[in-house]
Amino acid sequence: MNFVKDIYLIQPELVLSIGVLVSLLVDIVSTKSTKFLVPIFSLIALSITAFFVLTNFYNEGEAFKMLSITSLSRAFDIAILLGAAITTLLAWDREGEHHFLVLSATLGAMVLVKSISFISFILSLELFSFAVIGQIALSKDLAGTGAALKFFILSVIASSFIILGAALLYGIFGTFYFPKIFLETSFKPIFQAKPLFFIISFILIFVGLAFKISAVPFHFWTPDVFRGAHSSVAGFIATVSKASAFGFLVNFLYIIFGNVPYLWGEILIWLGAITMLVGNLAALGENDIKRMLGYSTIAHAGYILVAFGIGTDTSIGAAIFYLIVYTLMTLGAFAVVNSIGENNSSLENYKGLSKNNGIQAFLLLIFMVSLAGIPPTAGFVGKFYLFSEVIKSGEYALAIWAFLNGVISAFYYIRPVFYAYGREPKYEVKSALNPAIMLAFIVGFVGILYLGLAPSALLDFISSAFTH
Amino acid sequence: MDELWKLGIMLLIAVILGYAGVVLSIILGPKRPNKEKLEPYESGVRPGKWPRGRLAVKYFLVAVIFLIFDVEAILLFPWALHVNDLRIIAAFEGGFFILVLLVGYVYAWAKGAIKWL
Repeated sequence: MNFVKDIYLIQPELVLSIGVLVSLLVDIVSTKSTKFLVPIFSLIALSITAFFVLTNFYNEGEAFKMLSITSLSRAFDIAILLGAAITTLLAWDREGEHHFLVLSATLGAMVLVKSISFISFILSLELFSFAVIGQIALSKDLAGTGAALKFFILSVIASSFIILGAALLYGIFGTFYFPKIFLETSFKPIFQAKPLFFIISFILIFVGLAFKISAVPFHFWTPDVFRGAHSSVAGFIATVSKASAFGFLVNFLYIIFGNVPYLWGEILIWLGAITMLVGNLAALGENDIKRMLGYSTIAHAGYILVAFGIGTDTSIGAAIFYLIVYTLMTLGAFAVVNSIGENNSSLENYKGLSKNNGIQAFLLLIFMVSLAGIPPTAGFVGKFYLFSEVIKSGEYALAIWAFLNGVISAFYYIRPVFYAYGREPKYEVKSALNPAIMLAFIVGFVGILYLGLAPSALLDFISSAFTH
Repeated sequence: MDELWKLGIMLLIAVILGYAGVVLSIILGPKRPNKEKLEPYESGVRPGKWPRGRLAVKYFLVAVIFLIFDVEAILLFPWALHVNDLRIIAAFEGGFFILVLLVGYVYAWAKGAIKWL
């Protein structure tokens, strides 16, 4: 029966959606002294989902004419689940609702990367956005509320752009189903009939997605929201939100607009080149580490956008590898911020960190070195594969441009490390080191060094998604 | 593409007409304000106090819980009309939908959102 086959394909999503419901019930039964039950349950749900994702990695197919399950989308799922698990560790002490919202947002992100219909796409996008807004708003201080309001207004604007673009496409083709649109564009001379609306709808939907991946010129919300939000939420937006939006970009570019690569290839490359420069230059002047990490995520979005603009299988594989590495190192950096204290994010507090908080200073060194892309860390390997894809495609000027951007970024990444080791302490910083943060540190540290020294296992796994 | 200029003219006329009404009434209209005219709702109930005061948070809780039942009822009506025509899948999907909202309701109940009623 067709229905059973479809259900079989979406096992991981079903497991996670049951996990979402049960996490709310666990939150009800847990008292003040057993508050840790909710994050523990959340981690269990995420790891069972990850188990199902890995065992079903090569099962491909289409479910309900809404979702297209491919190995590629499962590879994005791994990045999403990794990000969600580490953010759960960072948010260990927060309310139970936070973990419920993390699980819901993860479910939204996992459905988003598989959507091949505007209905599932817009629904999962809203599920994701509203869960993230809730996470930000759970910090009930003024900064948290302000950040939640900013993020709310901007994601509503982005959604309305996307819905208008979807409506235009529906007006042209009379369907929400992406493969049908692909067929129509390949057989019918639709471009002679209504090219203008086709291009406008591309621009509208792409603008909405650019808000999500914080590409220039739609990046202004990123540092403000990161400053006001809890560091775990900022890390969640930086990693899971990007992974899901990039995952959907695959379906968007190669299915709906797959017949017109001349329409978007150059745009993506130029947008990526400008995004990395703007992110890096703006981060140079920041004295607040959360805002600095916000600009750094903009720069990293630029690198990945370039890989999408080149658009070969290997460049998408390099982008997924980079996304996983980027998830590890960004969340590691946010774990350091979390352990130093949410309100101590000014760089002044990082002066002389090595004197009193040796562990955090050392891990800050590792994560910042990896973000800057210096060997032997995974950040170097990720950048290496990404840039070698750029060179393979013959865009030498772009490769030099990206390399120069890496050099600029090294300056602001090394500055907190220099403060931590080279300056005298200015303020007494009381850091918190609970077991959850320690676990996040260990995952980030081991992951970055392992992927930096022996990346071939993960790279082979990702390329098997294309060639199996 | 060639047809679009007609749409442009229509848009232009709409914008001009819209603004003309507002601007002309500002320029030409006589202004004799009095207390009655300046009220938010003319001939309505006289406002008692400053509208931006505080509201009890209970109202919002009731609104949200109402939403659970309201959305449930709206979506279950068409489902209930056609559940016989659809296959057994529809029963499962409807059941799961009710389960999701039920969990939300149990959560609101356990957190004491309807305790004051």
